[in-house]
Amino acid sequence: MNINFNIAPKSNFITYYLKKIMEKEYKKLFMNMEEVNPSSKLFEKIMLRISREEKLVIVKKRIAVFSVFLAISLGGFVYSFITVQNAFVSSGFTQFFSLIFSDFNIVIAYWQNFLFTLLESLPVFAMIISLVMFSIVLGFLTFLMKDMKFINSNNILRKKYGY
Amino acid sequence: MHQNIYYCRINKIYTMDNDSDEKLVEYFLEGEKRALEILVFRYFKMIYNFCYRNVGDINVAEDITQETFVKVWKNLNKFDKNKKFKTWLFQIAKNTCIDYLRKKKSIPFSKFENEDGDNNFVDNFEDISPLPDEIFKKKDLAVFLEKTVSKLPDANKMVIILYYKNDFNFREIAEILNEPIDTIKSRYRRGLISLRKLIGDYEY
Repeated sequence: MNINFNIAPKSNFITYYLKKIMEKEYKKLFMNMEEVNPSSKLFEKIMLRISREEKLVIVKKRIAVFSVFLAISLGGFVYSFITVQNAFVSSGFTQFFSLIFSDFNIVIAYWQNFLFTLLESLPVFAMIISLVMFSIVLGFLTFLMKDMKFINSNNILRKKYGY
Repeated sequence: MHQNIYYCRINKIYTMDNDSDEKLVEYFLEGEKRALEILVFRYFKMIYNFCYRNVGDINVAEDITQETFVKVWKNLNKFDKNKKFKTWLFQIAKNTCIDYLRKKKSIPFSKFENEDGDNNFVDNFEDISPLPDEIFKKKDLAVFLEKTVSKLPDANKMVIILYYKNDFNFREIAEILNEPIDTIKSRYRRGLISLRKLIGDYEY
């Protein structure tokens, strides 16, 4: 047994010596204590948990960015919708269209001209812009729902394991 | 130039297995994800055993081990490079075990923190008698030891396991358990006295 005599306090030399012997004895005893083997998949489970948490961080950041974009695109959509509404009124489309209910016979008699007039007065550009804005809102909403679902599943796992 | 950087990186990945823990942390923070894999692989069994001996349930020990490494991953950027990684890791594992025990079993935190009361450590081991020779001849010594150690009070058991199974010194254990070194020495001594008594009570 290697004992460093230089660091042993001279007055307590015997106590120090006994302590070292005792420690050696207990060390020998604890060497007999077997290691408990974890399940063979524990390492993979840990790495999976870490990559899941990594994904969670990315998802949370993405949700924050998407929420801002969703709010902006929603505002854009509302604005474009009001523009379409105004365009329908200013182009005279609503007046022409109302003829179907007031003068149906005339509409039938000149249906080709009527159809052409209706198409001409249709605010196509404003409608396209509004549809594009609507699809952007839907797109962001889908991404957001997907990410929320991932966070929700993660919360279920956390509750299951009690963390 | 670009090729050189590439070969340096490949070389780093292949030689990382032999690097120190602190060097691996540095590599991970530089963006080398494999460094974390090596760290987890190096310690997951040790942490699992530590957790198992503290909570006494293999499934819970697995969950706590997972949680410990997730916490390590989350806080690696806060790791103090002047400290030992192993000590820091066990500190997180200990806290996770305590969190679990507090949540699941409603164990008051004081059970881990203030068990020693006002007793200070007295550097006197004379009241710990030597181990009987018969103990080493026991056939089922591993099982016997496991059972005996599990009977020790939680705080003392933690110190004994960290000292004898995980090769930490008193200063490092004090850091892990966030306690004064004298408290740790006192718990160590109490743990050995209890262990010696439990071994002595057994009829060979």
